[in-house]
Amino acid sequence: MSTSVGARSLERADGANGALLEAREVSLSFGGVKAVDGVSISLQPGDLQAVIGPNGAGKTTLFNALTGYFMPDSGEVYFRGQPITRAPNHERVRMGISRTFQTPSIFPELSVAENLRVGINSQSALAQRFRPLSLAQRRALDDRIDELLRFVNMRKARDRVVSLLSHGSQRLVEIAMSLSVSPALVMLDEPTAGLAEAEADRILSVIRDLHARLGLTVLFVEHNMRIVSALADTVTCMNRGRVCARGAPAQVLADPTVREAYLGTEEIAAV
Amino acid sequence: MNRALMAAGLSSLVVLLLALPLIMPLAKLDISLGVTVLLFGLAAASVNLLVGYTRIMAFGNAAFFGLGAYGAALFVQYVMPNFLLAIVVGSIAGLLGALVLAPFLIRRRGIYFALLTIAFGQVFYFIAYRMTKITGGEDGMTVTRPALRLGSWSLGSHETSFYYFVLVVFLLVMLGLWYVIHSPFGRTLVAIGQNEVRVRYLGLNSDRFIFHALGISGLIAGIAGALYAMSIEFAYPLLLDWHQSGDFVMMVILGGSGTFWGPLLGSAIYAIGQNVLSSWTHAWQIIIGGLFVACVLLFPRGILGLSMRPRADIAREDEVYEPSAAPSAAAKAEAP
Repeated sequence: MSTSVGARSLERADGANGALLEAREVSLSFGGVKAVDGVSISLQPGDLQAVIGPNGAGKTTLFNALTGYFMPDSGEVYFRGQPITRAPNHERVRMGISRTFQTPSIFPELSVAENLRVGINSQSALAQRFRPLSLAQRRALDDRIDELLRFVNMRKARDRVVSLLSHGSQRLVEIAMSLSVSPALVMLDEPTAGLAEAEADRILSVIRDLHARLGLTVLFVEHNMRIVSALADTVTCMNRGRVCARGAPAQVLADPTVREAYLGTEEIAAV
Repeated sequence: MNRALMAAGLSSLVVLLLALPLIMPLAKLDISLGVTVLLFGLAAASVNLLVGYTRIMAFGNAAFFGLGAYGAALFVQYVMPNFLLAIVVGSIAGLLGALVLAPFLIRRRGIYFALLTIAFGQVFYFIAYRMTKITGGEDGMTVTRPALRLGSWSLGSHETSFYYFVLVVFLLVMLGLWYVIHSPFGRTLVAIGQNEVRVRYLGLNSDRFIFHALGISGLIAGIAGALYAMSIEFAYPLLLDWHQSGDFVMMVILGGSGTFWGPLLGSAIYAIGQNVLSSWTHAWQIIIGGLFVACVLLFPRGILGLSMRPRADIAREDEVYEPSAAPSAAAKAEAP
């Protein structure tokens, strides 16, 4: 398998000094509800970190604040030392942050190849081109699509309409789309949610490759503790908008506050 | 649809359009109806770029169509009786109208975008309506179509000659539109129509794409409007009115929203319906309206959209993954 899928990203990550992404005291409220309350998180280049927590803990809202889906009410976000707290989402992507969503965010009526083509074109001036591509440009584009599909092992599905793929396959297409923009940091929001074990293992394998073979920094939200333990080097647990624990997976999963956040005090007493 | 079928369909369409001046008299129809079909087809194609491909609710394209009509008519009336320059001026008027409105529109979506396009269109309508001394107000302005001369060659005043001129412009504009829709820019518009959030998370500023799409749409509507004013030798405020915008949207929905030739088909159904049915019954709009309702309920992608329905079966696992990559045993083994 070629490892040039994220070659540019690897170069970017290596060139960075200090934290790749740093969030300081980020808060975000919806009406009277503080969904994220003073959360700080830091990712060094090459980190593979997980965010866990019960439903409604603020994990996805934190992702949204870090990626510009929502602007935080307070706090600061830095990427490679540059403040990006108020930067529009598409500019953050161009800086090197890509993401997936809880529900696969794809172009449902387009083929797998067409889904990837939009992201690949966004990396050059081609996206603004008003004429069809030349033969040479189409070949280069096709090669890049092949490379990305080989990475997620979906070359056979190249011409399939994405809405007619299984949920797990759609998630893999979305991951390939997030790679098509040559990111340095990939943020995955519940990448195995709703998947059977076999499909979850497929995703697990791809995330491991993102990190080990492409050298990308990965931050993911996950409920499946088997996946978290297998992948993450650092785990942050959130509850009610705040960070309640952070550390190595075994340490965090054994933390009484984390168990309480997931199970509640009564259930723990019963156990 | 395979290439051979597409080529056959396209050839048949071009032959039909070329033969229309011979066919229409057989049905006791005037060739000016053919001109109207082509020009409304162009205006509807301008709407289709926004509504069909980009899926934004642009309900005010009559503003650009009417600006094109008034641009050409005013130029002929007050500046110079030059046919080609009048078409150029009208086209630029449509383009400029779109570019002036675009900054106010590009950050709005859904019903707000729709209402703003209608409201801005009505502003132009009332300007044309009120500026009686220049535009003739409610009565409109009559102009005489100048002869088209290219060197020693003259188009002449015959309606068939004018039809062929309009046909050439129509085919050139549609060719240009085909290139745009099949360019990376056009594919991004289609992607915006399906999932704008994802487009932004691929690093693209969707607002900028919509700005350009509005400009292209305004230009095409302007060309259609300018030629229409020259065709009927008249420009009147209702060309700018929101009812006219609604007609263009209806043509798109009828023919096939998001299909390349759907707007032309919708325009043909609408124009022929208006001309033929109205000679049979005053209630022709009920018939067209009924067809529109049936279209929305039964085949929302329009008549040509019927050919675009995807197969409904979900791909099997062996049709997606290479056999070697069955659930990663290694990954599983490493998991606790």
